[in-house]
Amino acid sequence: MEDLSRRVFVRRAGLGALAVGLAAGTPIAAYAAASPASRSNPETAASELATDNTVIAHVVDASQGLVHVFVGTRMIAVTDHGLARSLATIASA
Amino acid sequence: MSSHREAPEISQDPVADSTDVYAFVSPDKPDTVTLIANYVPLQAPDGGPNFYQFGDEVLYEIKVSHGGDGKSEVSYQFRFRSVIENPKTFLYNNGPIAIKNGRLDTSAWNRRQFYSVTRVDPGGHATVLATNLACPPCNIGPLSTPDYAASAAGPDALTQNFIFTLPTGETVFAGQRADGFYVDLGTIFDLGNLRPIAAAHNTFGLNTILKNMPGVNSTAPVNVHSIAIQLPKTRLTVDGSNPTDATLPSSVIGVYTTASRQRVRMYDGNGKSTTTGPFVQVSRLGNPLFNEVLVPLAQKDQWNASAPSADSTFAAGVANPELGQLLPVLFTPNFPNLDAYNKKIAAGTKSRADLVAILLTGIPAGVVPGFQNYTGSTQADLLRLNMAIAPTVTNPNVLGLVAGDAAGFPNGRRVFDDVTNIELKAVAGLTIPLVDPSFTPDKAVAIVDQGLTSSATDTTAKGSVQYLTSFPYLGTPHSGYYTPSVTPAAVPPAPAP
Repeated sequence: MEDLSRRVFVRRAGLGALAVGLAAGTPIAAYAAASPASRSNPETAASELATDNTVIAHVVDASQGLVHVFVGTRMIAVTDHGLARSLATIASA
Repeated sequence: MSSHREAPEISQDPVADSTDVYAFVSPDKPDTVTLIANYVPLQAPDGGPNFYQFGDEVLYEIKVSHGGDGKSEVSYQFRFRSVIENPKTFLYNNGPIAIKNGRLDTSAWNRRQFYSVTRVDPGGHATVLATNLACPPCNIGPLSTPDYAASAAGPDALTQNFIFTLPTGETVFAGQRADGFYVDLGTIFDLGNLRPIAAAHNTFGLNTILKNMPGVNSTAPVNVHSIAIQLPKTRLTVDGSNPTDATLPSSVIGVYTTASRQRVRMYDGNGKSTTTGPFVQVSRLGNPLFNEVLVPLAQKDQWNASAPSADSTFAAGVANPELGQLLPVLFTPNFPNLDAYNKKIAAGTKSRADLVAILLTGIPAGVVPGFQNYTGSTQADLLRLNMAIAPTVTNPNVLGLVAGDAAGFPNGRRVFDDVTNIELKAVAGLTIPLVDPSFTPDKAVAIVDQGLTSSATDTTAKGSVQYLTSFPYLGTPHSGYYTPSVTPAAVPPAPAP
């Protein structure tokens, strides 16, 4: 599995048409829609990920910070408490 | 039935629902093996205008294990792509899809599907063997698909246009066929009320309301979608050799099919959807009826998502099958010996080692004289084929190995094998003496019969479209016009070819 830092993840995720969803209870399934303000460097991100690739983040276990990121035919497991908290915050807004 | 709608989850996903797997040495080309995986069950032939097709988002695979560990070493992957040629019509076709001047005219064909074939070798190296191979149209009727006339021998004129030989030696076909599997569903799932022996069914008062009667082939009028591949045996052995010695472990392969979907699917809200993530298995099939009959309902979805190499998880349902316990109850007192054996199984002094061998490990040498298809002690539901066994060309026996025809199920599976009867008889105790000579099968085993064949060499499967003697072996698909899903008696039968 490829590890992603929260910064890279947010950059990449920022390219997708993102939305936030909550699965029943926890874990939280988040299809995250980052606002334009959260895109730290869209130009760089654009070169990293084709715009037709959908990025989906699934907060598997918020308490452990475990997030699964789906893109193309890959799943990337990330352990990032801050990211999981951010997505949970968005999802509960 | 074999594996049509056999588990709760997959019953809601027909395009990914594997129904049957066949693996046999090709009778007309004995240096090759034919592998067939069927999907999209129970197609009413008149089900238009959106006639049946494979799933564009599904990864279909036919997998071959030859390492004794139950894991796939060679895999053929099939991916499909649908195309709408004319976005302005609601019709599948707005004119005949017919051969004109020796060439298939596809100009009136609106909804088409194409596919790619990829081989994954041991070690995981994937090679795309072909792309943009065309699937045939569904059999709509005599105006739309007139060249689908049934043929007694080889494939019909239309089907011939969709059989492709690849540069690497494989011959492939992917498209609609008549379902070759035959079963009397109405009896099996009405509490084992087998029509030919209904009077012996002494439970729930059945024998007071019904008499013995002929069986009914429930799948006779329906179609499936088949993925068929014929390939040299040398493409399947560990070392690329041509298997000629039936005693060698290297002559045996284990075959199964899987369908996989990407983990995430999101409906976009505009009538389209997006999928992403790695593929995960949602359906599999090796031996007929395994998940259908031997795996408890609560575990069927898990079975579909798991690998054969983990099948020891489900071995209890094989070593002590529920159906084997039911037969003495439903047909009291016709199975006294099986009933007594079941009690020993319950006491832990016996088990159905015969069924474990047939379905999970293969049959070791010494059990059936001159035969083996053992793949080792790893318990895995694989359709095991000893490729060194020559095909039976003259009068093959639909009861296969248990009737002395070693070219038939459970040595692989031919399209006409009566797998339901074979497994019914095996579960009823016919094969216990193979591993436990102290057991004598009940006389009633002889009459356990779904009644769909007139004799052991009847390969016509009552009511089924005739099987073909050459690739792709499964018969011409039923016509929507001649085989409507309602009031069939009101429509005249199709003319003889």
